[in-house]
Amino acid sequence: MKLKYRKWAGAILVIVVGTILPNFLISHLIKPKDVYFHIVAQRFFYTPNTIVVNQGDRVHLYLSSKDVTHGFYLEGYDTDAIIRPGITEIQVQHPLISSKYFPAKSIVFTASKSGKFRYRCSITCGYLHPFMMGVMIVKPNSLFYQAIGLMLGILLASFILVWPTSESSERVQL
Amino acid sequence: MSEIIQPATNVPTGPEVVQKSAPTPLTPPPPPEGWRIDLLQKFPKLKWLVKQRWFQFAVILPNLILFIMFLMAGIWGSPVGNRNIIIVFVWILWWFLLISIMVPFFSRIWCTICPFPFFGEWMQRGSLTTPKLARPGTKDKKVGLNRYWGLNLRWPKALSNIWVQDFSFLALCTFSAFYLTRPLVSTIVLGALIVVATILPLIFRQRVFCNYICPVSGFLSLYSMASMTEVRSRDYNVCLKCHDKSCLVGNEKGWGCPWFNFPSKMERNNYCGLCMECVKSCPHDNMTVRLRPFASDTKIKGYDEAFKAFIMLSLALAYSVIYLGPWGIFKSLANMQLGVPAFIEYAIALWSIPVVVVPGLFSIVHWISRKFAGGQPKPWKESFLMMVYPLVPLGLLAWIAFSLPLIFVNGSYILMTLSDPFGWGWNLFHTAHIPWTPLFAHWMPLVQVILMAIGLALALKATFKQAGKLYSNAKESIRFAAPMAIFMTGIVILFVQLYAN
Repeated sequence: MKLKYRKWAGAILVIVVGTILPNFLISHLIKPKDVYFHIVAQRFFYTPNTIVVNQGDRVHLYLSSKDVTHGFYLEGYDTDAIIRPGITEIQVQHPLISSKYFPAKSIVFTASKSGKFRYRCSITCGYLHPFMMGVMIVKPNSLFYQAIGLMLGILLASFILVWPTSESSERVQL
Repeated sequence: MSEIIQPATNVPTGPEVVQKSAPTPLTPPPPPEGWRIDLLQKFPKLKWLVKQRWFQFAVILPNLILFIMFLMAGIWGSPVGNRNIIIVFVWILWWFLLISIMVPFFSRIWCTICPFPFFGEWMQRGSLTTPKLARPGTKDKKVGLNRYWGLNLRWPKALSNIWVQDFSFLALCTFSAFYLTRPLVSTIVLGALIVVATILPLIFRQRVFCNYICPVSGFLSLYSMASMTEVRSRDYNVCLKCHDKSCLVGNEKGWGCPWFNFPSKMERNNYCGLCMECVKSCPHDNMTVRLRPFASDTKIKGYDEAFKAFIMLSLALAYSVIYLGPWGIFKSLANMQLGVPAFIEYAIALWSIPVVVVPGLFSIVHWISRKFAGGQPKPWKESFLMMVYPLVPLGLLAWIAFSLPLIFVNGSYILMTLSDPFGWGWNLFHTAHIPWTPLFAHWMPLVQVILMAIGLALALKATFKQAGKLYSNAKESIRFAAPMAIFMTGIVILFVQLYAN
């Protein structure tokens, strides 16, 4: 029984270390700067489909549409915009603060939260509208590296649990 | 007394009752692993409910009415998918409920309430609720002791497996961008299924559509193995002494199992549609519904079932790329925007992943596992099928991870279409004009990672457990499981790459 508990303790430790360790290995110390992107919407994707910024960067997004009216809802940053074809000015809204749209040349915000955030079309634009999206990665994307560490930790932990030891031939039932 | 012969195929082909002198001895199924809670004993009202003859009719009827309304909405409603109830309720709400709640917790409960076979079964039985008995000395067409209408033919033995379901599902998924987004196409696809489900019972006996054709049933059968609910006999010794075998051949209280199972011997959920006929017909009150640990059935019985596991896992990955990814090219291909030749190339690529790539990789890893383990390996087929099982909990969790963002991001469409199901400008419940409001959208990558971690843990647990059944020597079994475990982890890392990066 003692061996069983030791194995479980070891397995849990491996999973915890696997999940936490990547956080210490990835760099957090990058000087914030202003970054500019021009994102073009067309049925049913954005170009570029992925933008990568660093945490703390001031992000300037210029939006335009190639075909019909599209939306631009940025997850996690409470920002929604209407993009009309042939017009550089967009209508911006912060849904959690107010339902009113205001005109703007661009969306400007500080990428304060790290991770993966999708931007999605919020105005019905055609058949595949619900699947029209792009991705903003705010580095360091610790969730991704922690997830990899977690999965490798689970793999290693499973071996710890089933490994027969010299002390005993007992194999822990997973 | 009649002898009951069980067919030797994966999917049972139906009870056959022939007159012979001595009954075939029944081998008891292995005792279940882990805890079981007898739900019908614990909840007498539930028992009363499922024993009522009107039970299944009562649960199908509202579903059937809704389904007909959905089909009508597909024809006469708005062509805009997210403004039409057929798209929003079927492909967002129903799909989420099915894969995330019904299958993991309640097995094939969807089959209990599914409206597809309603008309066909009604005509085949000549009765909505009351079972009919064949009259002796007449030309009544019978299966077991029950009387049926229609031609009552046997389903061909060569098709008594889930290969048709494997490929019908894959074919349906090839055109998913059309019926997931276009109400009229949804109506045509679902309408065609209900027509087939109505015609087949007039030709073949019992539920051949559900068992062998229905594309939904195929993956329900696979993933119900992981479910926490099962229909089983309480005490197998009672079944051994039972001479009636009413669960199989039927009686005046219930139809013989329409799913071609021999309920008292059932040891897997795969082909049990939870119709509760065996609970009703058992003269010894020995059939029940039990709660059990997640992922309790572990036996994959044929390559058809193995391919279903490959297909489902591959499609979860492919759909995550097409529908949850930012790549417009895949959406354009799936939507036939780049022309028919490009769509054909897309279809070939989509089919080759589950039919060639994943099974091929799996076979290579399986071969390495056998070499690495050394010792005296079991036959190839036996160990192959044993090791496919871990893909069941992994695939189910992958589908839940894929489906979750669909409901949280697009859930507000449910409220909109509830008030305006046809997109005609109605506002029945004053929710037609609420804005599109994604919920917890930026938390989805984290939730998806957690789900995949649970899937991996369950898959690894199953991998080592199955390997332990193949090799009695502990070190050999670990060596056998190691390449498989690494393979599963690799697959999960692919999902993580898609969901979190």
